[in-house]
Amino acid sequence: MQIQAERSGQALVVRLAGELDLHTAPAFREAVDKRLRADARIRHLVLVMDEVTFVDSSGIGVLLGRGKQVLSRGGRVVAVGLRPHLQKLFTFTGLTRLFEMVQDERQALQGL
Amino acid sequence: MRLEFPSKPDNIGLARVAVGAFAAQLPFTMDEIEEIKLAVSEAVSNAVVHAYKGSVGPVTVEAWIYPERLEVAVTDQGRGIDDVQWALQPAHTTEPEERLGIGLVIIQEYMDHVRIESAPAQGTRLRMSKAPERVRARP
Repeated sequence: MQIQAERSGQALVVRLAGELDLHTAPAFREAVDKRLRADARIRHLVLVMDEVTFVDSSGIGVLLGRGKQVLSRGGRVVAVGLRPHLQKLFTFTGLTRLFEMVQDERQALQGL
Repeated sequence: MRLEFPSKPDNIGLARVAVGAFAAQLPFTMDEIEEIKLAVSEAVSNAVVHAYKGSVGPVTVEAWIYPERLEVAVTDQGRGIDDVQWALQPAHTTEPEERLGIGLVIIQEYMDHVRIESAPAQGTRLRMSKAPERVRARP
């Protein structure tokens, strides 16, 4: 899995590509946690996921963990461009109740 | 097909891809193939996390094509499940950290039939099957 993260205003924008499973989840967890710890200006999390091809429950677990941290800071979590075949899993696991799901990155960053 | 590999996270993706490619011999839709890959990922991840507690052991993934369904079995020779019925319920987990304990729930949701044979210290064998919707829909 490829991970790129940068701050945009109060949002941490994380671009993911590839597969999020037991093997790649720790790297994602560390990449986000490191930046959340280091920068108190970050309130929101934007996950750009149009290049994510696979997520299983290990992936859902780390997404949920990062999301909860951001929500507990009073921030919002937005997932951008999730592929249709992954949407069922996000709904089934209840992640769509915590994450705002949008298709457009610009739309995601507005108002954050 | 039969694939055997050490219980390391790096190998889970290989198992997904192998079963996904094998399953394509049946008229599954692309979404159904993704569902099969998800179920395989959950089953193999469970073996990687639980079977050999702190150590590494063999995990075997087998699959069979029948005229109307795919069968998959994921087997380990590890410590086994004390209570399979308990383990099948959501959020019933002995796992640390952020794993959600929903692997078996996901497998039951996305596959047609699931059976687990396990006993303490006797390993675990999870069998699951799926029929293509196109086959099930035939009159």
